[in-house]
Amino acid sequence: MMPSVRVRAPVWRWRAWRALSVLLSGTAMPACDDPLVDPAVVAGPRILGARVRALGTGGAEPGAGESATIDWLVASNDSGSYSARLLFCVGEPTSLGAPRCLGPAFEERTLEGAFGEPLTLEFSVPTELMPGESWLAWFGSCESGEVSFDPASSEFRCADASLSLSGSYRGRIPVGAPNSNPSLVDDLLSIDGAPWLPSDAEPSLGATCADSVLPRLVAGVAANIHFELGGDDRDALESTPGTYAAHPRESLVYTHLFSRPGLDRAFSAIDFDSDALGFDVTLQPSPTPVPDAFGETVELYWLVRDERGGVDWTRRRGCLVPR
Amino acid sequence: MRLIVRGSIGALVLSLATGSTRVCARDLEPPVHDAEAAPAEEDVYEAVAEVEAPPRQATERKLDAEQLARVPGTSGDPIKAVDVLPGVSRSNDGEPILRGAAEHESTVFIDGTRVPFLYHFGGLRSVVHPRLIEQVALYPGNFSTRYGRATGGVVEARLREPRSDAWHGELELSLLDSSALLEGPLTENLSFAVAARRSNIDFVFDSFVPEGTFNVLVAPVYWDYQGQLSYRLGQHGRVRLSALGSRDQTTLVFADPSAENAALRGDVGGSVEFHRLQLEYQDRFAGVSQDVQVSVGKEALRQVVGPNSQAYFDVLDLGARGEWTVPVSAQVELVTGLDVEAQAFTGAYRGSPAPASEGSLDGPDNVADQITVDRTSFWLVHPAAYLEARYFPLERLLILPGIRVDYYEELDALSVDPRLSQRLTLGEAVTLKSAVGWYSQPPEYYESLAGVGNPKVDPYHALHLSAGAEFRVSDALFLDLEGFYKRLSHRVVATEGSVPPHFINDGRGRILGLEAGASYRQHDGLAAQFSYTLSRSERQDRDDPWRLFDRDQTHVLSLALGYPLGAGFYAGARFRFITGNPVTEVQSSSYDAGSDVYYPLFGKQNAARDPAFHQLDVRLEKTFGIGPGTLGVYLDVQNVYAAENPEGFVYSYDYRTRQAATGSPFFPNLGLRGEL
Repeated sequence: MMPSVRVRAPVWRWRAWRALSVLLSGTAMPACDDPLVDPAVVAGPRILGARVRALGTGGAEPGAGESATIDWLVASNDSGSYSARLLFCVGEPTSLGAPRCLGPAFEERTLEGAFGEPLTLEFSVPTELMPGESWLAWFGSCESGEVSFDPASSEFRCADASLSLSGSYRGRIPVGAPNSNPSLVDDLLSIDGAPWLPSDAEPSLGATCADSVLPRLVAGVAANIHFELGGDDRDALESTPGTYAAHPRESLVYTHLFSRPGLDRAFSAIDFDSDALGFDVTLQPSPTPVPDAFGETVELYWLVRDERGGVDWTRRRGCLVPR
Repeated sequence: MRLIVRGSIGALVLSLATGSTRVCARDLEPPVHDAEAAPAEEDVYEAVAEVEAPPRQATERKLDAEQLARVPGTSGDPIKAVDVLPGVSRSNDGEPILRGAAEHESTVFIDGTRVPFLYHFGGLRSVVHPRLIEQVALYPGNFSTRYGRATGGVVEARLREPRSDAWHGELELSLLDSSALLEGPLTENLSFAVAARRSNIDFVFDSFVPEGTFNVLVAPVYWDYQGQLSYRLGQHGRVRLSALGSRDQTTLVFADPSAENAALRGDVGGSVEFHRLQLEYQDRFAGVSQDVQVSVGKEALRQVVGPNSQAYFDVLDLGARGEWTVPVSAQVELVTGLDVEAQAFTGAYRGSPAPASEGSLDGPDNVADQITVDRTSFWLVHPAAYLEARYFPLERLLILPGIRVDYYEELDALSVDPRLSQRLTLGEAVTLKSAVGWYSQPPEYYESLAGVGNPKVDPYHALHLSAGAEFRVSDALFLDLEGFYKRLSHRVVATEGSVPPHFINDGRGRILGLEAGASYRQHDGLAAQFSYTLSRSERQDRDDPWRLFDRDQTHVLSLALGYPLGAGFYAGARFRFITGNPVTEVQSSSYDAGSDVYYPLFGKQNAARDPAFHQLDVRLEKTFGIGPGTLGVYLDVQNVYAAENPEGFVYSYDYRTRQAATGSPFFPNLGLRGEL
């Protein structure tokens, strides 16, 4: 597996002459006994993404007064369910640090969700928002007890201090070129040369799978995952001629996660200037803990973001067997 | 008048015990005897004495390059050795932290010209060849009206005159870099020096980076150069043309996005460089001394951090400084000066908004927050005038009142800074000193840049107070004790969340401290420098509670020893113990599902600290005389006992786990230097 480089954020300093030193001093090779958790592993309940769809246009950026849905994707290394507080507020015009609400929530709901399945809520964007202004969607969940949201600090709190998950999604009233969610439906995901497709009859995560049609993965043995764009989802971007470092179209950033250690990295990208429309990721599932002799169902989540808020995801399951 | 003779004839330095005044005599010439005449019983030597002017500020800490070059842990770099002096805290990126002031609040000059950075790669090496430096002066606070646009302190490196006796050369090779120096006379009055240096890191870098980490790796490379032409004009005059420049560059090309940060992909790296050409004219007419400098220079920055963050800035630097010293009476001397700096910026930027220059909490770069500054050009023009008096109302009392007026063209703002210092010598050994002064500084260029900052932001200010005493216990032992207090007002701070207008003058600061220093120099024997600084530096941003300054270091202790062992061997050691920097604990995090980044949610700002920093450096040097030249071999070992010295943390992608980031490693630098 290729060693990774860890760079302490932020890598940029406006005091230009300090920037290089900060960059260099922040670059470090993780040690062999790296205690930091691997971002490519779904080791417990974790928000993986949120996707917004305008009900009228289907775009990723609903306008002021428009109705839309938001899907929250929460996964875990085990199947199960959770309870979450979902709410919406108008966002402060922050540009550094965590987003914050400008006032109280304009919509708020508590819902039950299942790990690995989208949790969907319909909402309407406030009519008074102007182009460029933002609204925020929030997700909070406690391991146990009541979850509440403090708009002033824009933080969730649990009655028993057991906050397990919190996240936000910032939407903006559209300015410029319309933004649509990228789609993974027409893209190709293959493993060791064979298409890796979702199946209607998949065992649940962690269940035995010897009799299933899931592709076989062998613990400790490397497999090659190949991804290929079916159609180019990189939306064209508007920019004034002469704009510095302008991108003519979006870049697509992929997050890939697995239910146990084994992916060589969590991120891949097809940048705006890339001619290559595919890439490879190596999956070498950790042999520990030893999977069930009858196979153990494992999961791969594959998300794509267009760096403007557009998101899509898909899931693949495999059957992990001991070596 | 009591003359104390140190050194040997030919390089004779005389110290004159006239309070704080020091007299240096060089180039002593023995009297010419008639070959037929019998030699005189006692020859009388003649010398031209260069009398250093009385101090310009209450506290001046100057060290000769020869002393500094042997400080262990610096690889013979005199400028890197300033942290053996009281009032200097440990910096993470090389820029000096003086009396609890932030790095950008202090200024660095080389021969009177401000330079944008003093070190390669934030502290690896200074940007000037060590053998060209004559003296490094530190003014940690309450500095003269000669200096402005800074609320912290001043470091000034003076380059020495090129040698005029004969041609000399030097070659040095070490693991860090290779350098060459050549100097000598061109005519009777014209002499020159040229020096250049280049890093060697790229030759050994590959062994530190695991194979396959990057598609392409261009290892860090730095180089610098200096050149001088000096022409002597009679007894007092001199014209000097100097050039210096420096460049740092590194590039990494990631094969795939970083494991933990999707924004870190593709090209990451950049370069920074500066060049300066300076013409200086010094002379004296009718008792009036004048020192006029003009300089022109260029700075260039190129940076790229993945596809979403890149920038370039080209800066044309123009500077002019004129200073005239006019003796008014036996007791009064006036010094007046003009100090003009102008910078023409051209550049563009795409990336994250600017954080506060101090007190910002690190978070992720979120592509959703990016800004673009299209190609922009702007000038920063900062003219200033100053007047100060050296007034001796009593033979042993020196009072230094002064006033400095600065104009900041881009802000259309004026600052008027009155300052007053005094030094009173009691007997032969004790000098009492005190000072009060007002200091002003413009915001950083981006803090007032439309689109990034707030064009309506104003300069900010600091009140400096200090009082102390100096004790010359013996010819070898000198003690210095001083207390200081600073109050910062109108500080430029970021708005919460960097909401427009992004920066406002709503910050305050208070700094209190005590410095103690001792230097012991035995002729051809032990040399020791001890310093200790006790301080507390606090800031308040907006209406937030007071917090510790990001680099507040309660105890800063340094002890450097050097001893000639004989037979050309010289051994030195430096030990430092410094309170760990404040850190802000991350309590939890919040996920941004649109951008796939986690925001850390912080506890009380700067409420915890890194473990104390402690480090021992040693240096062993052996000099051989070979014919007319010398050959030196040195081993400079940094962090001898490999103290880990954790500095902050590296966090996991979700901030739930963390790992201490270790400081400078054990590093032995072996070098070879030949001198002719």
